[in-house]
Amino acid sequence: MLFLINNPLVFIGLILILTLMFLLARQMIKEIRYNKLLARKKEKLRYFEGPKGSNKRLYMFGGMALAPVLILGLFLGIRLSQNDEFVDDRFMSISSGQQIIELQKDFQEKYLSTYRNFFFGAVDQEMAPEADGAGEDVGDQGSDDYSDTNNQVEGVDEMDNVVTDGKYIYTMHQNTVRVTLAFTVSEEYEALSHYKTISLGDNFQANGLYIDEDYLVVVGYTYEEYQTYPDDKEGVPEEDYGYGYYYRSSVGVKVYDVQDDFALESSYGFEGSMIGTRKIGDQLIVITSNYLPYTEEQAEMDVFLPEYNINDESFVADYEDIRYIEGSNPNVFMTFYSVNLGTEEVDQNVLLGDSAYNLYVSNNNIYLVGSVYMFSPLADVLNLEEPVTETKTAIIKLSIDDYDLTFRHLAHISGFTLNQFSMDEHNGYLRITTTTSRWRFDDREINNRLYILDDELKVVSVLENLGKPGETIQSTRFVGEYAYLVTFEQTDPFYVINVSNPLEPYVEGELEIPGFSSYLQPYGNDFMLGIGFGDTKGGTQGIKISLYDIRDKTNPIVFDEIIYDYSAFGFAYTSVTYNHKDLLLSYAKGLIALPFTSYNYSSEDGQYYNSGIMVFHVDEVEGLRFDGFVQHEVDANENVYVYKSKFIDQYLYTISNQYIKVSTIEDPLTILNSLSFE
Amino acid sequence: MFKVKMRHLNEKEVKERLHIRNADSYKFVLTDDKDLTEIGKISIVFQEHQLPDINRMIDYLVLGEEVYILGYNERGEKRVDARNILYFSMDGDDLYAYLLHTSLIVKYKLYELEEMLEKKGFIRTSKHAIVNMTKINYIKPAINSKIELEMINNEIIEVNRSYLKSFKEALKN
Repeated sequence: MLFLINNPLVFIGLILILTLMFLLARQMIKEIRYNKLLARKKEKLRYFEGPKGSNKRLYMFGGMALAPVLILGLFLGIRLSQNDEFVDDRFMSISSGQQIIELQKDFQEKYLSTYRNFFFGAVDQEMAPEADGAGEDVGDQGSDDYSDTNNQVEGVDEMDNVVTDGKYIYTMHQNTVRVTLAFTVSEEYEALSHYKTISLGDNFQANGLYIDEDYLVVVGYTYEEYQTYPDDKEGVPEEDYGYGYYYRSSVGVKVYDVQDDFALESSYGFEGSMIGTRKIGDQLIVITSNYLPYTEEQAEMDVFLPEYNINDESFVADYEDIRYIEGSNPNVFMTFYSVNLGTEEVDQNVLLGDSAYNLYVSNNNIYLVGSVYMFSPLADVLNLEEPVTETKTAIIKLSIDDYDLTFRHLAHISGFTLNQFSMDEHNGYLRITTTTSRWRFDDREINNRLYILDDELKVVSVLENLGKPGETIQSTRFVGEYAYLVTFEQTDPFYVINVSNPLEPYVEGELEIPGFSSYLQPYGNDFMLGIGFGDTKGGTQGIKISLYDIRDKTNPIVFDEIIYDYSAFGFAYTSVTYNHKDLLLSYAKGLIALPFTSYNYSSEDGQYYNSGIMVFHVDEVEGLRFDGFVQHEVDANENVYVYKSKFIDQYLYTISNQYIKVSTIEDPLTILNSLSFE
Repeated sequence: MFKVKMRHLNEKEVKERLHIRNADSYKFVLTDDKDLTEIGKISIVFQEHQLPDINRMIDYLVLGEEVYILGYNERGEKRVDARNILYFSMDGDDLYAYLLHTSLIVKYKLYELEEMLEKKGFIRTSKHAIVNMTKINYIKPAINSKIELEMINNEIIEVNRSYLKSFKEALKN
């Protein structure tokens, strides 16, 4: 019944079919009766040839009566198969801007509300701190033992706001990159000094950094201002025009030669907002989105065609090169760029669709997920109030073949993904966790699923209804043949899922504890670090760092945990709960460090806060040992926010917007050297 | 009209071979045993080998004498058993009798034929036509409360609304 109420179209169809069937049945009964009478009459008249056509006729009637049932069956079948996962290798081709306008109109007719996709905010954002300086060249080597960015996939670099190459520490400040000499073999920590400030130019806001032995890659935004005009300029004074300034930003990439004292080697511009970037060797992947206006003019559409430039030489996409994902809101161009940093060549691939939000890149493939709307059939004709039957996750897969990207496959699965860690590629299979949550009257229907998709993004297996009723997925981490999953509503079940057979994943072990982890990080092969929320009273009013022992997959246990109650510390948070790159971890050194900030209030000083780096030592026997809280200023009124830590050799470097300070990993609280950006 | 009462023979089989059913109000009793005859009814006692004769007798009892219709076409005059005629229909001023493979012009009035052939299973279906019910292959009721008659030669004859009631009656009786 509920199904019918929610699907008025099916309901109407059902009534029509039933009416038709009733009429047909009446007709059939009438006809049978007449012909029976005829047979009797013939018998009475001593005429003994039965009606010849009657059987044929009855078959026809039977067929006619069954036809609506078949049609209904087919209809429901189609709907059911729509609810199933389907794979579509065909990314629809576009031929002109006019076609995009038609697609938009079509979509608007189906979906009349002004709803736009809300999920375009979750992009790779790195926070830049503040300040400036200059330095001198030291012809000395750095260390080989230093901390890389905490990447999800080995070999696939993610950009970060602070990077180090064992010698220099690179930080960002507005439109500059500061290069700080941090360590040399001869001077060690004493070498700490300003080396260089690289100016990125006007209208360039640094957003993230990559470093390798050849290139320093700075990714940022460039801004331009445009003015919009009223539709009808006549009679409108010019000073009234300014009701709608908007920014058309573009992603800027500047590449500096590390071997040539950070000389600018090349610069790129990619029109649009950033969805994400990755770097694999000397290949840089940049994904941007350009929101389209709702317009009637192809000329206006032309302006929004994705454009990029290499050292100020511009290239614009052709409509013929654009692909459209059917069913998606055609409101954005998503452009996938592959940049060969060596040859300065760019491969551009444009997709028209709804904005996507979670990016996962393996060494061979790019997976970008976003939402698509599954429309009721004939939604545009019937003008339904709820035309969307379900919002699904669209997975777009591109292959990385040398420096070329190719749209490969498209899949739709139920639910939405939480973050990049919801996805993982292993032996050609994509494993992905999703949560479906929708309100049906007073009931919230939740379904947490683990999908395994093959190379062509065909679903090979699904594990459904993970977690207890009402719980949603809070974090996922895939490590080889196992998936670790945290769901939460009141308690935190920590699941160990065996995914060694892609056809038959199963929950192998389970642990239930208060609080929940919003980030899971493998620590060696035997431990999983969980960072999230929990307090000593069994609630979530605190920060909780848990170390799970996962040696026995059937019986994971909490090996150790540390809890910071808000009631003891004031409100506190760690950025690791939402940004994995702020976590410093070294299995070899037994080191875990993460930013931690607590807020307090005193009647004399007003609100003040303490920001620093929590440093722990991990021992596989003793568990977690708290080694200290490294602050740059205590009870600061000013914003001295310690947001990052890195290690080079045996030294721990902590970075705030005002200082870089160095101590040893063994004794983090004793500051050996300090450099101010002031 | 008949009642079949058997002692030695299979009653069902006999009914099938004679193409008759037992009626509630019957005049004739058909039996294979003289003890089963009934007072006040015409009883016919027969043996199995006489069944074909009984059959012919029943034919005569039911349908009466054969009626022959005189008509002509381009090949001359013909006299045909009315039971072979599918239907009569007016075409202009002429009345035609349609047979399976040919048609004849007959010099009767439609109402004369109607009266003459009533007992032979003919029924008026419209102002212009009389149909032999034994030559109807199939009856198709249409949605607009008309009836279409598919004749054994696949021609369709409509029963007009004003003749529908009498058609139904004739079918039932």
